[in-house]
Amino acid sequence: MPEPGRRCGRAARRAAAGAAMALATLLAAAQPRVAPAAAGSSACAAPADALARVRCGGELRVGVRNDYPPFAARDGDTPVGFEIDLARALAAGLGVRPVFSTVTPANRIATVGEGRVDLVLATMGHTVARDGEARFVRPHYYQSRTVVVGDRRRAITAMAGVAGQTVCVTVGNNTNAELAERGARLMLFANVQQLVDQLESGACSLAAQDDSLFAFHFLRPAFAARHDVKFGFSPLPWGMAVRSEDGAALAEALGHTLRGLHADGTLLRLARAHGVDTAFLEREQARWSAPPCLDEAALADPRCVAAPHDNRLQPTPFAAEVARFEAWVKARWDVEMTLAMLKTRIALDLFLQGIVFSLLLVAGAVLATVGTSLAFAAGLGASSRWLRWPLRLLLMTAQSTPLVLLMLFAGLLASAWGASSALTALATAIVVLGLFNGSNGGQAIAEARAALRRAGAPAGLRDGVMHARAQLAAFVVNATRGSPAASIIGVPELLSAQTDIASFSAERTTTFTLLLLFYMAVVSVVVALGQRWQARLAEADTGGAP
Amino acid sequence: MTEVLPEFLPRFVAALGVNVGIAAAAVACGLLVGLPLAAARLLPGWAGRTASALVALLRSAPTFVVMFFLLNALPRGIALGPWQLAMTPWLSVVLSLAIYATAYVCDNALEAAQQWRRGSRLAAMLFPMGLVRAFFVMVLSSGFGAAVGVIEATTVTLRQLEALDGTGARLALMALVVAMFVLLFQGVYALIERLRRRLVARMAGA
Repeated sequence: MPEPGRRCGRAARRAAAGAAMALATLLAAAQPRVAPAAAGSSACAAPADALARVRCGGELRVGVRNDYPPFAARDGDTPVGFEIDLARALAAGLGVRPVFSTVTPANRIATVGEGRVDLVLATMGHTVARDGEARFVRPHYYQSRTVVVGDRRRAITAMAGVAGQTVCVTVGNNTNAELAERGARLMLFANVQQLVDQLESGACSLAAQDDSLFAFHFLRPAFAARHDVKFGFSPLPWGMAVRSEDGAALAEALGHTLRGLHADGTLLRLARAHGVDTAFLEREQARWSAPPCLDEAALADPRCVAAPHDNRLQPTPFAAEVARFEAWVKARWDVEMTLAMLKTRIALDLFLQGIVFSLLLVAGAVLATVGTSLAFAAGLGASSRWLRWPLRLLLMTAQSTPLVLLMLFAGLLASAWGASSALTALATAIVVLGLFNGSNGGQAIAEARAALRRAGAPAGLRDGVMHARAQLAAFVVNATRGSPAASIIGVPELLSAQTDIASFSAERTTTFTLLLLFYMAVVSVVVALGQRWQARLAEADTGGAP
Repeated sequence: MTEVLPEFLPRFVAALGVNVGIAAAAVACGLLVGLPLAAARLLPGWAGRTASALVALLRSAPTFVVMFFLLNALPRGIALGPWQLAMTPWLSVVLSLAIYATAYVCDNALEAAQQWRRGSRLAAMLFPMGLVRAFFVMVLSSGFGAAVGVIEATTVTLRQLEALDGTGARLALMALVVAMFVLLFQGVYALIERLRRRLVARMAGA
């Protein structure tokens, strides 16, 4: 994959940089609001706050990203992008020069909080949760949304269309919870690059991610030719932030400059020059160019300034106790454990539903395997070839087709008949698991009966089962082991539930370890029951003799 | 539906090669770990008991869940001496099938060894036959990779299905794929059975 930053049009960047420089000159000349403190003056001996420190130092230290074109990237050693030019304009507004530092999504808030930069301007969504960690400058300078992007041939236009579809996502996005709630099957990836690679390779046909990320990829003709935006949801305002403790005056000064950049169309021009989506900026320009947002007090007016995005998930009543338990485990055994499935309502609902569906699925698969085995055993040994041959064909199909493909085939048939609920998917999966394993179990019983017949022994169905009991038990265990594959046709069993929970909680180790332990325990129980059943049959076979 | 076949079929066959590669790697891992485990189970005392317990544990792990566990719960990069192993979707499928293969190899190699000791050469000679059959079962099971983003035969089929308009065309393509699998694998199974019968006949003659 080539370095993304190099792909941005250099001519466009030069034009944008030129626009920003001209703008900076204008702003520097026109900035009347706060008289700069002269470096070396008495006020600068001990600056009172971040604004004074910036003015006295003559520089605005800005934390920016270097890997997110067209917002912020590197052209050699030079930072380039929409946010870079915006930072230059803001520094000019304060009458100082910008000094750029690289930050990442993981360290950007800590970097500004520890005072290593004065301002962080790094593709950061303004959320209620983050409001407590840094002071956000108002108004917002951009708004992204989560978009579902996919193969152009797929006809999906709204959220309702994702039900039952596989959507590739990166872990840790709260918007994943919304997709999971709407019935999407989520496929998880650790980072955005993997997501895009999978989309391009065809492993994913739908992917959900911030539209600002896809903005760059849609500039590439090959990507744009194959993919389009299906729909967007969950708009997220972007804000720049300063330190909470002493950043109030700096945030206010930056806010005044920013509203001017909105009102006079500068931000809009920068966005166009960098190929950034302008829908939000057009609305903001109109907003800040007309009453009531012309007023000095507009920065505190909710009609002018949008609220932060509230993406918090509702906690369970016992979330605090769960957190204490995790801390206790950490202190007692030095083990990091995060029980994400017990901390939020949506996760708990998914988790409990997952357990119920898993148990129903396993019980159904066991019964279906036994029932299908008996039916196949009887049918394969029947005298009528009209009964034998269809069953042999079914047996050959089950023995030669991947279980996943059989599941999908059955799922497709079910949906063709208009059945698309979770319970229908469960019933479909049980039938497939029963057929897949029961056909083999039936063949084993039928072969045992044939062997008994050749030996001149009684060869009834019961005799066949008695002799093929080990194989039958093995196929029942196999059905149990294969049951989680039902998640692929939308059965909301525990694998599906834990995947959804991991997608928005960002916790995967505990989540998937518990999942594995759960299924291993279920398989072990079925193995133990199978052994007990075989022992009873053996006892009956020998008439109770040891 | 027929108009997509010239593009679909070559991609499907190439993707089937990925399934074969996954199964081959899994069987190789299974032999590498399963044979020493089988030997350990023949030992008396704690070594045999430990090996048996380990194999019981491996048997209880559902392949589909193990695949997700390996991909999500383990660190992305694992250091194995001088080698740095990246846990990719492909590797997670290989390792999850390798767990199944290890238990299979261990159980069947142990049985073969015991038969050999009892003097039943034929039963012991059937072990490689069983292994070949297990290999083809694993080729089918590697279709699980579709759930984690491995581009194998099921994934290619799925992507083609999604691109088709109408349930009829989708069902037709699905039926075609199933038919191809049935023809291919029944052919392979018939060949294995023929070889097995020939071996039995030869051993009986000897």
